[in-house]
Amino acid sequence: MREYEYHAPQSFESLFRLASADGVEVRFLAGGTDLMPRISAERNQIPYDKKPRMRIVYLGALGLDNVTEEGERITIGACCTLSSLLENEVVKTKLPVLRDALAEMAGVSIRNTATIGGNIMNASPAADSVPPLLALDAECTLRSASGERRVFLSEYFTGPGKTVAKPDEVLVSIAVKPGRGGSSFKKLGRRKAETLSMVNAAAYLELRDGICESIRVAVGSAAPTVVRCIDVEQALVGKKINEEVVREASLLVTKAISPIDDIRSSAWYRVRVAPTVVARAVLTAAERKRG
Amino acid sequence: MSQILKFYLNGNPVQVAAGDADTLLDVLREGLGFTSPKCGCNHGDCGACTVILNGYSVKSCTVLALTAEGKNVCTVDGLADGDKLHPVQRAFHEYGAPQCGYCTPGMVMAAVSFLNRNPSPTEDEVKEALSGNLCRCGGYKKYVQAVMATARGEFGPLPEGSVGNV
Amino acid sequence: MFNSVGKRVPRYDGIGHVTGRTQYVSDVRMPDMLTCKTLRCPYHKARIKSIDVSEAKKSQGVYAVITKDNVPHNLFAMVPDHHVLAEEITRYKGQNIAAAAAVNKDAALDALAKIKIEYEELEPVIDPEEAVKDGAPQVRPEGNNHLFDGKSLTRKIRRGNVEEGFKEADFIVEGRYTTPSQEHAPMETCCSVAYLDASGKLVIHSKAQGLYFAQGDLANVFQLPLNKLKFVGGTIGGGFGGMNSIHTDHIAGLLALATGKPVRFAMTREEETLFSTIRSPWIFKIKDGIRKDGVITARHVEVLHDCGAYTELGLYAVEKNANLIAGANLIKNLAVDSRMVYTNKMPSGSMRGFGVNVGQYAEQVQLDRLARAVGISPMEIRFINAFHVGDKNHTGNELASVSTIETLQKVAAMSGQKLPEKYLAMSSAK
Repeated sequence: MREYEYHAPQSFESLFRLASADGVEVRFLAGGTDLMPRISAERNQIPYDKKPRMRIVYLGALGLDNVTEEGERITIGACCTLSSLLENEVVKTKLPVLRDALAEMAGVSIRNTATIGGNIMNASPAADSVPPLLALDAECTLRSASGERRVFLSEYFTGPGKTVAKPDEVLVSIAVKPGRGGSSFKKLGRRKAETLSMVNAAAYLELRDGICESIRVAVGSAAPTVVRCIDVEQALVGKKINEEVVREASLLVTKAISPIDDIRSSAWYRVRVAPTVVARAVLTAAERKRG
Repeated sequence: MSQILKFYLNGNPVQVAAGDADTLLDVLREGLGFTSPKCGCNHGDCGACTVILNGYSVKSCTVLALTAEGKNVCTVDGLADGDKLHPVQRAFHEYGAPQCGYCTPGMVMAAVSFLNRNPSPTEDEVKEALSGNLCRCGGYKKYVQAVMATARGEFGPLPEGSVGNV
Repeated sequence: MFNSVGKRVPRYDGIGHVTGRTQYVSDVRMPDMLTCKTLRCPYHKARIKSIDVSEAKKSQGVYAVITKDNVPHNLFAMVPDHHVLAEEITRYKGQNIAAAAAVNKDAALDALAKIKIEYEELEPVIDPEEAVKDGAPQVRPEGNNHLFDGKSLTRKIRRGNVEEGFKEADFIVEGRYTTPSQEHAPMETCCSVAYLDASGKLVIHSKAQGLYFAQGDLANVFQLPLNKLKFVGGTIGGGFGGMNSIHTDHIAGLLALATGKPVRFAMTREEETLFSTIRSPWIFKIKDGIRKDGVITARHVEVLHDCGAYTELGLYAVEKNANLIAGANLIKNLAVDSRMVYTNKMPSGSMRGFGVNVGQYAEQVQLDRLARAVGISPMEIRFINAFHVGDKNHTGNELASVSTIETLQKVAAMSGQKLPEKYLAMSSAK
């Protein structure tokens, strides 16, 4: 059985010392709702392969659980639990698209544990927090011993479970500008609550006199990563937004996606429902802007 | 490896050796002998292991035990005041909600934590709140009815203060 | 007059459930208790060419490692053809091959990793329709088909003459219906705690649904007289039929005997889902003849039950299915041919009306199709063919208590369907 060691560093200096070690597999732990079941499953298997010691580094003691506002920019600490964000006034009033997603993620007890940073770093194509953040053109801040860097979320994911973050880099926060537009998130799961998305989508759009001035659409659970739907966006810019136009444009989502068959849905079904989910997100976003 | 973990369990300070990768569920059941949180899936799916951690319901199989250092953990064992059951416990019993009963302790804790935050919920909100707690016997309807009855005050007022809070 | 009838009665164990004080098998703890883990076959079918547990036995914290050689009588189950620990040929993925008892889970798994085992992977057969064909890979040495009475391929029911009945018919309707595997998924996974008490008796805390079945069965496995084997039941976290089969009691018991210490064997959710017994798949082919007036003149049903690698409760399911597959209809010319085939999958267990409800799904859908063929309503066809009191059922028993018609009338009322007067006036009494 491989060995495990746990650390809860109180400062970034000790965190980075722990993170740069040879011969151990370093795993950062935020809420644990993804990592712990994996560790528990591993600990129930016959250990045929020799695996290096796993060093579990807890991020919960580093004060990464705040939401701050600076001018237009809202910065969300990576260790904010999904529940704390749902209860947060800034999120409630200024980031309705994120709130939509948070309210539909997992169930209450998982939301009480899971963090937004964990949802991003887990890099699941079905992560519900990602399409809203992508629609808001969010920027991630990564910190390592050599300093900080910022990466747009649109360039953050490189594949299922994979990100640009290096093994010794920690996601510390996600920043967004809410903008003047309307936004919305829609999800289709196998049931209403405590379910993973078969397809999800988020939209942000700015309207002037009913004409779409700018728009960002993101769709999840339909490609190796959550993706922006540039074709849908281009088809809508400059158009008067109504149901027919949006439904027509949403069909172009199939150009952006490459779904697979998995336990939650089939590729066949995903291709057919993705336009509907996208259209619902765009129409609700437009509705909110008008309303 | 293991370390000494100190926390408050149902209001009492406890210390116990916890493996570095042990879950809170492992420590409660194996380390401390508190078998009321059940292991149904060990995967964060079924909710049978739900406990209240610093006032919030959590699935204890998804919580690394050592992260609970210094925190307050409440299991269903800590709900009753002597012989006086918590209103949610009375409601579940009187409405005949438990069948095999294996999901019940987790269901109680999820309901208590939810009502602390939302004392006058709609039925849909209750269903959503219990959606992470599976019952294979199919007792959902009575669990929801019992939570609604508790919210209506059929079993008396909820105790002051949030259960298991700091 | 009555203490309980017509009154709300609180459950005798309800307070225990809501306070978390009810003790389930998985909650039983004993001092010095060892943990058991098993080595399961990674292939659907394989030959175990060699197995060496000597290093595993020396592993730290290990008290016993057992294989088939350590089982006094290596056959169990209702039809005792299932191996406690695999013999030379393994028959399904996940079949137990060896078991270890150690101070904790880690030590038990570490020991299992040290078992040296050489497999030869063999070609399995998974699809039941492939398994019945000549030349299919053999699941069992005696063949893939279960032989009823030791010689017949089919379990037959015959009434009247189906060929004559088909000639009488105005329409012939054929249908093929399949049902998938289903796991019981009780909230509490399979679990046993076994120990030797002060008098030397082997005590097993068991999730078994039929404690005396299990006791008799395992007395044989352990080669112990019944007075040396005690089963303790109690509240369990769900079974739904799955606890009619033995999943952990046998191995926990063997390890308790081998070590003299209490042994706990609990399956993980993954093991429970992948390797315990299931409601196994069925294939039904139904050919019906029906007259324009809605009377079914003949029915021929061919059933294929995919039993998995061992009989377990499959045979019982086939019997129940065969007797009831023709439904609550008086059919004068009937032939039922049921087959049971072995495949390289987990064995067929019992689950919630096993054998019966799967057949009723097929039969009820077929009835709707018959109604459409004739151009009558789904209600009408059921009234026209319904059993009455005094009718003989498909296996020749006279029916004394029949409520098909009354049930249909109630269903119509509850679902707001208007029935013609003649059906409202019908009754099961002739």
